[in-house]
Amino acid sequence: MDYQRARYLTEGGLALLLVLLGAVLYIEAPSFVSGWAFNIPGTTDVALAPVFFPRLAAILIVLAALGVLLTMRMRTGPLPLLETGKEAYRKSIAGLAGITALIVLVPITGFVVTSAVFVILAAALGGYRNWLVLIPVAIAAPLILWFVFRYGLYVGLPHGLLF
Amino acid sequence: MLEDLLSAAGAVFHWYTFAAIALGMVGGLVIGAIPGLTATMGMALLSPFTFFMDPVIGISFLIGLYKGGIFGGTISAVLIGTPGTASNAAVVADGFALRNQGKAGLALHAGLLGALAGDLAGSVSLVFLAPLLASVAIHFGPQEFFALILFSLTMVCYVSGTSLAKGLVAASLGIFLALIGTDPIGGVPRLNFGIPELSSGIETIAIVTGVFGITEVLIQMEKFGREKIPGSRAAVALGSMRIPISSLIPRWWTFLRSALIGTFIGVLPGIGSETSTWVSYGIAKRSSKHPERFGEGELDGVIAPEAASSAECGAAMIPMLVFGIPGDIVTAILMSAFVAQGLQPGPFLLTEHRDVIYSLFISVLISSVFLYVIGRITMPWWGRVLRIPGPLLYSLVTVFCVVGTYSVHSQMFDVYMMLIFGVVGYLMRKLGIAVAPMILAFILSTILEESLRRGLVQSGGDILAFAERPIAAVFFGLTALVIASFVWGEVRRRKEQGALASVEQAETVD
Repeated sequence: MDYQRARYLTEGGLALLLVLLGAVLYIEAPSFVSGWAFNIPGTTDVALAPVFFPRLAAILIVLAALGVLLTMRMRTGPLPLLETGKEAYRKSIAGLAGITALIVLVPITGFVVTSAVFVILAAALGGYRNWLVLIPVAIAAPLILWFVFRYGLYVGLPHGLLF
Repeated sequence: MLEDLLSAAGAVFHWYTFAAIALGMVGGLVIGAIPGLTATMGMALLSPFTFFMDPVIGISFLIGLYKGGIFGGTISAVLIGTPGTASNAAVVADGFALRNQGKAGLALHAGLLGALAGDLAGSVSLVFLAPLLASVAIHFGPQEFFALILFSLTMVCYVSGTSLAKGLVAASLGIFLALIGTDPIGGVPRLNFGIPELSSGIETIAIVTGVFGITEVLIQMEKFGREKIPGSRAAVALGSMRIPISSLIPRWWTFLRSALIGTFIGVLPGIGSETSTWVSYGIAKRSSKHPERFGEGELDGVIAPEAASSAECGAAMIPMLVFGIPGDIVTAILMSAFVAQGLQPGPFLLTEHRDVIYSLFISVLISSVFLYVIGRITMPWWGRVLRIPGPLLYSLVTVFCVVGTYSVHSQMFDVYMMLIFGVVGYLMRKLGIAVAPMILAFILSTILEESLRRGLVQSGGDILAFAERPIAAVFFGLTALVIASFVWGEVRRRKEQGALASVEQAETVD
């Protein structure tokens, strides 16, 4: 598939997806509002209704998406999505998995331990293996943050099973 | 006003305020100097730290960070030819050329002097223009606010990225995201999908940290192991940093003109320092007696963009403080820090919190001097900052993102939202959609909705009545002008492409 065709497919697909999102939001807007979606009792002003602006936003999403669709052929510059190689995507997906693991594990194993392990693993897998620097920094940074937040800003960072 | 400033000076002249500015500035210089880390990202990561501080100290820290971050980008622009932020791109040509001639210290010092001049101009304009504009803004009704926000958003969509349509997509998504929570007029829950944590809406810091912090980490992770980041190169020899006064005096007009350009563009919402630096560089080149020296290591080519970008720091705060309308992402983050401190930016901020705001004015002025002093003292070490290895740096940035977002409400839900928006930001960057319109629309959406709905109620549902108010009509006209200019530009570009294609076809036939 040539570059321009792939580009049209990507941008066209995105625009259609947004049109669909806007349409669903417009139709379903009343069901997303608790209480009086169309009018506040005792008033007749449409602008006062909580559903008024969400519907306007839905129209804006549809119009903007149509704008993307109509101007698709005018854009000729590179699209980063198609410029990025598979290897790069693999790395960022691995990174995303690592960050997700960090966020999921923080409430379970505690901020300090999880962050230290994350920094060591992420940096080492990223190619930095100067252990004499990496390990002290990975342990010291979360500890310092923990102390600054706990005793300086009076914010307790998540404790877990370990620390 | 002078009395207010003098009494505020008493409140500011304490070691802890100075320490906050200095700490913020050093942090900003380091963050700005590292390619990939920007002042915006630094503000997003560190602003939650200030929510628990005294407003003057916390916001002084952020102002230091902002100014340091903007100038920090020049360090990597000069030393490794890679601008730390987009606004420093104009410095690369002459700054890097000077570095290759062994005059990196000279280029950095000239840039620092330019930044000092610009920063002072922006700060002075903030101190004197903000109270004047606030007295006008007090008379703004919902119609004027609606028209002004519409104009700001259109400008942001126009100048961010390469496509107005994509900018509008980002802005409309931002508006949609801001609807989640509670209806601002009726107070009924809206679009929270039964999730209790969404009843007060999505936390701004979660979105900003996600799309700037996590997104950047994911982008940088793509390069891990594949290429050495510029920072891993050996430290650069700076050479002499001395600039003779005799070579500065003839350049006074470059300093002043560039500072004024930056200040003027900074006050306009949405344009950003990327524009002012190139405008300033272009004018400096055109008015120079030796335009051929530009790009070869001309000092004016460093001074002009630096003065313009630093002038924007103070000037961009004017619309944020006076109208509650941030012109760019950095001031939007600054605005959320104000709100977190219980200071609602808008026409009444200067009257209701006079003491705090005048203290901040003093902080802004002090930080201009700090920028030069700290920049000059720390200059010999800047080369080392660039040597921080990427994998270590970005794994630490991830931890900062988690901590900063969690600390706002002490709930993991915000951190989950940050992760989601990190992925959204990554996809947007890959699809060539600028994130700035989304963030600004998200922040401005509540005022936009309130002003539109209140205006419609006042006019009995007649939207055309908005244009009967002169100030609103001016902003509507400017908005139409921006859209028309975009359409005209696109049509002209299409014609040129068509003409080029037919010439190429004719040549092939021949």
